[in-house]
Amino acid sequence: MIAVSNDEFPGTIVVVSDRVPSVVTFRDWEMKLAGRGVTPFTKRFSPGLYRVSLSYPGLPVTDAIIDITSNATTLVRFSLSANFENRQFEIHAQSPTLGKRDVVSIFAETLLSQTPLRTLPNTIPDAEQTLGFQSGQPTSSYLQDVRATIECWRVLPDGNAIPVDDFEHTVIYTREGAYIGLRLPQTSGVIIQLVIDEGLATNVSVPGGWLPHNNVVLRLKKGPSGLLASIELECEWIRVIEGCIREGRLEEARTLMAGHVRTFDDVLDVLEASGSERSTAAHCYLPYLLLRMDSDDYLRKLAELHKSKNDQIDVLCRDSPDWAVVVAEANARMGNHSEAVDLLRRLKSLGLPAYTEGYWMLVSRLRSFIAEGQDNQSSFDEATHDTDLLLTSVLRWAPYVDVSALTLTYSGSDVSRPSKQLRMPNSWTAVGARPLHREESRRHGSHDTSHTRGGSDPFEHSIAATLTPNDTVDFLSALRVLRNLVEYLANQADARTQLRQFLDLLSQGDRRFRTDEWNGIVLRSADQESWPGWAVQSLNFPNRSPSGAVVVWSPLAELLTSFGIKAERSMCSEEVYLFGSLPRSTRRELRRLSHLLDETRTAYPYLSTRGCTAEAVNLLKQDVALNSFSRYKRPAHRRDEVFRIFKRQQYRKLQLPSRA
Amino acid sequence: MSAFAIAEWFRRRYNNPHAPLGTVWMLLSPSHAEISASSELRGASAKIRRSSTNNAMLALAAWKEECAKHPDNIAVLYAAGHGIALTPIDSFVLLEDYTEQNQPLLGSLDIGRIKNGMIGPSMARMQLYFADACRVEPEEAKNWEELGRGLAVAGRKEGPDRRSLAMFYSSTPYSVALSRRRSPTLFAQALLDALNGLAWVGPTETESYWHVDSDSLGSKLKSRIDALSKGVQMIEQINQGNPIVLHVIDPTPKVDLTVHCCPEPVVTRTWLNLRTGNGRELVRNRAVFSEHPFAIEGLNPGLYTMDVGFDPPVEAPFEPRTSIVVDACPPTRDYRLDFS
Repeated sequence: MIAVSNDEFPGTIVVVSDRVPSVVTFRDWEMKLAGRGVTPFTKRFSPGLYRVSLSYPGLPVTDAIIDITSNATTLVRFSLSANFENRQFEIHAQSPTLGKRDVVSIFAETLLSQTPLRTLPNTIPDAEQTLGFQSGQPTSSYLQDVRATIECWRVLPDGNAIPVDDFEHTVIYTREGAYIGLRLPQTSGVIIQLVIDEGLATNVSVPGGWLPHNNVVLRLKKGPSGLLASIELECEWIRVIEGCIREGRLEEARTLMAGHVRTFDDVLDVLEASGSERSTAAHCYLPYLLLRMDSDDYLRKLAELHKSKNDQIDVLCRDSPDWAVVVAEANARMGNHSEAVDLLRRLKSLGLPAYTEGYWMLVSRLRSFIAEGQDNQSSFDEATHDTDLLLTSVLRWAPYVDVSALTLTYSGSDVSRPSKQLRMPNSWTAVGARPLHREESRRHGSHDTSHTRGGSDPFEHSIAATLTPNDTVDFLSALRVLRNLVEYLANQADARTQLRQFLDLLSQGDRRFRTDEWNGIVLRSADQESWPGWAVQSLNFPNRSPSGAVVVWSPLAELLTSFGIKAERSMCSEEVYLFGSLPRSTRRELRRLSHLLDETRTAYPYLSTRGCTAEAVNLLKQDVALNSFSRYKRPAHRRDEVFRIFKRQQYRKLQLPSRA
Repeated sequence: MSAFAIAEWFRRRYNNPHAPLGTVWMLLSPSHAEISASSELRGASAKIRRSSTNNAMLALAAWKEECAKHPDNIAVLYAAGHGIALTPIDSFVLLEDYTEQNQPLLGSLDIGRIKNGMIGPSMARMQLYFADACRVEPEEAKNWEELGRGLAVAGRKEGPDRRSLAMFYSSTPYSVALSRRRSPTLFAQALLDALNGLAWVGPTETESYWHVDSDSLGSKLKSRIDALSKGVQMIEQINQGNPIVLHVIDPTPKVDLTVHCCPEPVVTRTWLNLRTGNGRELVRNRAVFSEHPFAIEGLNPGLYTMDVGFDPPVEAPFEPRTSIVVDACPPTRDYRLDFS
């Protein structure tokens, strides 16, 4: 059900169509004109119902009713190129169905930072997010009502001119106006005439000239009222590409880049030029474009990027999985396989690449390394294990990746669980581009949690992307992720550490995950689903169960049992025991003991500098056992037995590593 | 019959403060079946001139002269009848006596050339053409040379053509335009439906009232013809310049909304909430009706959300529904709510 919001916060509407530019007209609920522009169209509107009409010359006007919700982004995709009879709007996930018979296309791409976890599988990187706009400002205001005819003429030696038909053109609308890019068949002797048909009282022509270049850009500048103010002739494609990247128009940037970037330095200039307005998604895509140029010079420069003294570049290579993949690829192509492997191993902490291209590049390169490592044990022996593990992790996504998507997009009922199953019809999960700086991501409310860096699996970042500490995450969703994680981490060497890490992330982010309620939910789930012992041992237990029983971990339970205190029942395959009422002092000491064991059982959050066999047991002997349990009046030999049991349990149950 | 219905609409309902109704030149050649079907047409056909070639020529000249009196005039030409086309851009609407001409097409209206000739100083800059006829190429026509050219008007060229015009052909090249016996053509029906509410649009930058313009007309004519002909007939539209505001609806129209529930619920237990599309105003608050279907009259046109509830709760298949989007477009709107 859709609730009509009275909230005053505007929502963002994005209208895209397969025919660009199509004219978009917005009418509010009273059918008054609310806005007009061309696709791709982005604007903020007050929440409510709107009628959107789309027109393209030669095609019938198409319209739809949309519901703009507060603080959310609504994407409407129009398909005009289908046959008239079959033309329809794409029905997206989250389309309200109940009772809303007239609404044909609504896709609320709610920002991650504003939405509960359950809506995550349908999110895609939001243009506004990646651009880093300040909220409240208009996101876009395109040049309006301009229709232009482009005519190209080739001047013959006798002074006559003949029309040139075989030129390509691209029109790109930006916030400042528009660019018209022309790719001409010859480099000189061409006159271009741009005749503006509409939007101005009189026709305007660009003075024709002899062009030094076959890639020509005409810049149309927008005046204050949105109408055309001036036309300039340019020849620098990189400026256009820069504009595209700044606005997150990556498909266009990709197309243009592939054909028009001339020098490596041009690209680096784009990086430098963007400065503080860093567009993460865009910058993550730059390396692929560089690699695609397939020039030895570029390869060499790319391969050396990770050694760069430039801070900007250094940050990129260190923090961006996409850059890591590309620089590794470049190194591999240059024959520096060891460096490539080292770079790829960074992905364990960086996560999955944001772009599909990077994902397949990664899979392909890992496979080749593993094959190479098997053939040549001496040089790749050490790395093969890591790369093998990484490949295994990464390949989980492979069958479900949408190869046609620009950013890594896959089907599944859960962000962290790629599968055939779709959460809703037509829904896909897309991994958002990760910001490069933690501060920046927080400032812009991005959906990434950079503070989890240091993990060891791309999977972790899928989770990290969904569980921002500031997010509202409900128990059910978190439990689902936790369950998936337990299943996934099984048989991994550092499973316990990772699970602990995740639980700590949860509890740091939201105080509800520090409560007995949450711990009880997890414990019951572990009991019902027969979680493995290592997973149960990694959990935080509730201080008391709802029935008032005290929940005790098995080593401590045996300690209590040795004092003649009987457990009521066991849970989780005897990993956990429930005891009836215990004195407060005993409960307090049990907590201390739990904490003590907790520190020794995993390497996280502290390095395991204290050996469990030495310090922990000594502490127990001196501090805990002698004082806290003395009230049970057990003879001394029983106490020694307790410690022996306890020590044995530590080895047997916890599988603690012996101190090096 | 179609031309008569359209002319009557202009005579009785047309409203445009920017260009009030001037003169209507009407030529009619109704069939016996049409006369027998409509008493009004029977009365009119006795007084109105026939659509012969001579009458058409005179009427065209007078119409052009009248239109050329002021550039802010709106020129409207509606021609219905049998029609042919020899090329994809032709539309010849045949006159009553076309078979009596030396060259058959001399007894026809050449809509395209009429449009071409409607230029000149102070000529109406807004022009609408409706050619309601088939555009088939007769087999017999292929055996003939020099069939002639249809009637047109001559206009004086004056630099760039700055007219805003819209041409609506009721059929696409080499296809037929349909009609039912003793009824106006499907195109005329669609045009009347559009003018009477289907193509009404809200205020824009250029028109502060609800109105019908050439854009809305084209859009709705397409869909309406498609519905009436069950997809057999398609129209062709040619636009030039800006949209033309043809008809102004003043005061703002009201919408009568009727909600049909299927199956019929217990009327006294059913209530409706109606909220404006921006969610700020509750137009009807738990309104209970005395009879089914539920009628809500006098709504401002626009988008609304509706909640339907039952008090006390009723059994299946009925269930409360919320936020149903209602597009209350004038003049009436029937909304069917299916609980089955």
